[in-house]
Amino acid sequence: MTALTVSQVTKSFGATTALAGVDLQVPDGTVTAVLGPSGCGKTTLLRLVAGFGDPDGGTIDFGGERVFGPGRSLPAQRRRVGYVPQEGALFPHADVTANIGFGLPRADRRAGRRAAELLDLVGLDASLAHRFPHQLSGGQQQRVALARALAPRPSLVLLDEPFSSLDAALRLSTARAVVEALRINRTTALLVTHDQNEALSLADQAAVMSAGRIVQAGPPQEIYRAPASPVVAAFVGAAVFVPAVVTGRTASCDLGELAVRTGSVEGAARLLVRPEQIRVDGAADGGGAAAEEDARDGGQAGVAALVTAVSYFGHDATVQLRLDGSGRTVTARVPGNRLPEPGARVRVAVDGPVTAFTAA
Amino acid sequence: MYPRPLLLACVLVALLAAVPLFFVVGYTISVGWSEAWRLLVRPRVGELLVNTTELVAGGMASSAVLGTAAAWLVERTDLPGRRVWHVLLAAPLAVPAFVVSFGWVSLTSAAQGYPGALLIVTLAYYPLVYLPVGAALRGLDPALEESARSLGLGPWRTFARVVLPQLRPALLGGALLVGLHLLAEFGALQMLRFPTFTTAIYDQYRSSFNSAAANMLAGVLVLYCGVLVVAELGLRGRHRYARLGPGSSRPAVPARLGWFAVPALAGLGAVVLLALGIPLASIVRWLVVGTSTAFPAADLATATVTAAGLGLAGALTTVVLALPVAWLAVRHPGRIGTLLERSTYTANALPGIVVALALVTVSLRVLPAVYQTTALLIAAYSIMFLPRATVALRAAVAQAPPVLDDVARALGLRPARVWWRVTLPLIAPGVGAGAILVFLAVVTELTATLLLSPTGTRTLATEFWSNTNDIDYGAAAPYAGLMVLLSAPATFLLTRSARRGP
Repeated sequence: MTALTVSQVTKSFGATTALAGVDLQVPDGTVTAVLGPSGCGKTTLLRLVAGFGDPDGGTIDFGGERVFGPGRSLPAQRRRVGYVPQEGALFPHADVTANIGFGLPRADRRAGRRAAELLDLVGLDASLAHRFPHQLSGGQQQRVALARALAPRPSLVLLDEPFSSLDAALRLSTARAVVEALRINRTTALLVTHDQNEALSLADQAAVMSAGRIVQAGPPQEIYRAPASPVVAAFVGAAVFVPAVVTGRTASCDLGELAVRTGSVEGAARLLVRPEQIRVDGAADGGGAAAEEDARDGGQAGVAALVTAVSYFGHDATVQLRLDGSGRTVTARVPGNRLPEPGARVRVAVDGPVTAFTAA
Repeated sequence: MYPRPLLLACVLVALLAAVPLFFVVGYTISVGWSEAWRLLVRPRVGELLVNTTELVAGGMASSAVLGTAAAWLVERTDLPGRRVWHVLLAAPLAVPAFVVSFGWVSLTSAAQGYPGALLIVTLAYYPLVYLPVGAALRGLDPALEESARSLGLGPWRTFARVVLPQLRPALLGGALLVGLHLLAEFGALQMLRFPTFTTAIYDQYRSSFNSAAANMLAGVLVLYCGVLVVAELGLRGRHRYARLGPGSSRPAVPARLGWFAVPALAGLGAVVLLALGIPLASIVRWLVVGTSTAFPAADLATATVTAAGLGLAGALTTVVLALPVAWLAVRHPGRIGTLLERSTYTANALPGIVVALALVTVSLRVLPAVYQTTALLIAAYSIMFLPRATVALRAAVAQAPPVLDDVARALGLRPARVWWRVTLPLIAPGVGAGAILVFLAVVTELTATLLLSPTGTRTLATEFWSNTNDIDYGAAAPYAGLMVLLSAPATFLLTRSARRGP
């Protein structure tokens, strides 16, 4: 079943078009991440779903109920969505328990049982119940904000860049705890983010947005491995583009003969190679000229290259390589424990199938 | 984009605030060129211009020097007892200028004339520079000074080339406030027999009800205020003064005064003694002298109740008028919101005497029924103190960001409930602070109250004034003492908000 269906939603602010016909389906009980650069319209989409504004056109349905359409716009307070804004936005005049219970009927607020339940659900200690927002860390505030949104048992939870204000270490643990809580509750959630790691690691479905449209939606692995366009490819991760000629399932390019995914274009093409697909094999043997000959013939795995720079990150590293044959520079990502030195001569090969786009 | 009723309310408030300006401009146009020339080009006007300019220039300069020096000593050095000094140096704000003047005049007639006037207005108004400059010094990133020192600049050159430019907005803003207060000052200068435009307007109006001459002088006074405001805007320039980049700054390491601490302490002690000690001692002395004959408890009570009633009505009205303007400016930022908000600030540059004169003339011509009523007096207070209320309410409304409304609505609250459960609790403290500021300003207001209050209405300020005019200092002292007591909490609020930074 589909918990949220957005279809052909448009919205302009004066002369600027924020949404140019957005279509999105969020299946029941899943987490969908809307991923896009800032200014692509993703926050606008979220706010229209919440009911904080009306689209210029299109329809929005929650399950079977139409909440926005021609002649109909359900006000925000009757849509029963949970809303978790950036930085949490806890009510500064209320303590944690009062914040969580804010949307509950008066009797339930008094009982306070639900607040304790939710504190537990989002993984916070019961001792925080009577703290005020300014006495909490950023991550704790964010978890309380989620608990507050979940308390009235909404059909849908909307999260607007909820982790962007947290520092790196806290971001991962908070995000995990939040998604965990959503999963336990089987809550449908729409998460807006500009951080591709967040989108890929947390969501069941990722929807990439660009210039007011959803350009691709699907499971994170699919989005990353088989992006629909070079723009999507570059946005969801580091990408190396190489010109090539595709014949059947083989592409011929500066990196050698590579296997392409089924259903690729024929003829002149632009190949997408992910840096971690590029394998750097030890130092090329002394007989450089002979090795190059081998490479051109495709007799030995890979092509010869010169390491021009190495950026070391600890767990892994990126290596800049200049290919001997064409002089083209490509970037490879290698494990941190197998590093070539700058200036070393290496052999380069590509693992797994690559994606081909029509040449621009 | 803008909600209609809100916009309408704001336009009405802006129009009310602009009544005095419309009056001055309209009057000048209606009088005609030759008549205006005849009224203005007189030796008397030239004399007033010289007096006013001397006082404004001297008062601004001396307040700037005194305020900045005191702020630097308190904020950036290892001066002993800095917290106490901070309170003592801000405290003169609680003493209305005409009470300071009273303290000196009742002591010695030598205080009259330019030197006395300059000394007294400086003592009364330097905190207007001291507070913003102190706040700016506190917010100044010491890393800037450290960078300057590492680039080879000595302490004095660092102050001149790095610190002073950073203080410029606060210093100019404070000096401008001093200038505008001096242009509007009536009581203190009248008592010192130092005529300026404001006192001359009052005399013209009172002596002959000669509205033509008074109104023309009011036009000149408004023009003078306008020049000050524009000059300040021009001098401030378009530079960025805020800290660049993220992160919070560390507190500065205080400069070591060494042997210089002795003259510094003596200097600050002298300032506090002259600004606070003399007026307070004077009030106490006359209180003792006065009560030895008769203590007018009933009169005092009546005046207090009247003043408090006017203050309450003025505060409520002003806050109610300022709320839509502040709301529009914070929640719907844009050209129209900014324009409407700014237009309520024009009253900042309109002396009370001009507001009063405008309301007298306009009410007599347009709505004679309100002339000599409390309603008109309240309207004058609202126009005069709208800027204070708007500033306080702006900060209050900013305490309730719209995202909280969104969250509350998503949690199922109707808009009216959102207002009741989220917005109101959040803005209430700021609204209250704004109301208190207006209340205390009304209680110590003299000029407009003298001109506009209905016959028989006696407030603390007017009773004080009439007793002082009769040289009955003993009878005036209890009223002065009460006004100082009432002003103290407002001063505390002001110093606290300045503590939080500009």
